[in-house]
Parts: sequence; structure tokens; C-alpha cells
Amino acid sequence: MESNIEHIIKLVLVFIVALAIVLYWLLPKTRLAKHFKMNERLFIVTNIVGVICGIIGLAVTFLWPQFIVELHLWELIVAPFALIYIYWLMIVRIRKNSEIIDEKQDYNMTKAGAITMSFSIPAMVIMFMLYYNKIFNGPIWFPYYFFVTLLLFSGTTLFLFKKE
Amino acid sequence: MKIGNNLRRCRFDKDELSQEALAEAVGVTRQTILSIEKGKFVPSTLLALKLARFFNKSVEEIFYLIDDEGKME
Repeated sequence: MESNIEHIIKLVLVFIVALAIVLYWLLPKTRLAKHFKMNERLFIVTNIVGVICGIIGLAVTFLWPQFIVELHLWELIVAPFALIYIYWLMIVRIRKNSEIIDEKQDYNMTKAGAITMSFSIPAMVIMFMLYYNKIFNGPIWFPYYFFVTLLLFSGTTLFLFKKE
Repeated sequence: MKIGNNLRRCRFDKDELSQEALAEAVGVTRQTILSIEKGKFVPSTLLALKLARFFNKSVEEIFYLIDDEGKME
């Protein structure tokens, strides 16, 4: 049963990655390319998706730690965020001479990066304690770290962008 | 020391220009204009010059220093 689910998830992931690569190469050459541009809404949506992926990822990490890595669930959870970033890359490719993010977004992301780093260290100390006390084992430290970072970075960027 | 600005007044003097239209004209997001007007974000020299050029004013006519006692310089 688990093996079947793993195969299905792998197939879905391969399909998503293949589709993303094809669209990345083909779409900029079509008439649709002129409609692709970075805007405030896309920036906000990207960070909201990052927050949602982070929360779901952390929930699955703690609720089903035995499946998150073995069944490739973490890749599936992060796929929407990754696809939006591929869309960003596509915009960079189409609009070579224009700025993708403005100076405030740049400033907010830099600050969010510093805040994320300072909070991810205690988060990893917590994970170390859980491992040391044998509450967790196996490779779940990776999805934990990944989703903590994603949640903190996206959440902080969104907060700073709206409030600062 | 802080930086204050007359950006909101400049917008209203220019036919009540919206934040969105100003943002589009100088190549930033509406949120950036909003933050500058509220004094929460200090723009770069480049953006300050772009804003000044857009309103056909000098940078000093739009931005000014506020000392620690709250006096404008």
C-alpha cells in the first residue's frame, strides 16, 4: 500500500517537474509572454503560499514523521511554492532589463532572511533535543528545518512588507 | 534624526494622483509609496531622485530632515 502511494507521488512529482520545465522553455516564446510581469499581488501570493506550505509541511512532519521523507510527501507539499518561484524565473528570463522586486521588497526580504536565520538556530536546538531524547529519529530533521525556514521567511517577509 | 516627506501633498497637488499611479510611474509597488508616505521606509537616493524628477521638484522640496526634538530642518 505504502509502496503504491510512493509510486503515485513520484509520478505526480515527475509530471509536475516535467511540465514546469516545458512551460519554462516554451511560454516565453509565445504571445502570452507579454502578460508575464512581476507585481505586488504576485509577491504577496508567493509569500502566502510559502506560509501555507510551511504550516502544512510542519504539521505533516509532526503528525506523520514516518511518511514525510519515505513517501516524498515533503516534495509534494513544497511543489506549489517551487512552481511560483519557477514562474518568477520565467519573468526574469522574459524581462531581462527590468527589476523583478522593488527596493522595499528587497529590504524586507533581506531583513526577513536575518530574522529567519536567528530563529532557525533555536528551532534546530529544539530538534536536536528531540533527537537526543530519542523522541524523533531518522531524516525528519530535514523537512522540519526546511519548513521552519520556509514558514519563517515567507511569514516575516509578508509581515514586513505589509506593516513596515 | 529622521526623514520626513511631502509626498502625499505632492500627489494631491498633481491632480490627486493615486499611490498606484505614482508607483507605476517610478517603478515601485504601491506598498512602497504607502510606506514612504507614512515615514516607515526611507527610499534610496535613486528613488528619491526619480520621485523628484516626476514631480518636477528638487529632492529637498519633497524630503526633509527631522531632528531628534521633532524640528524640521
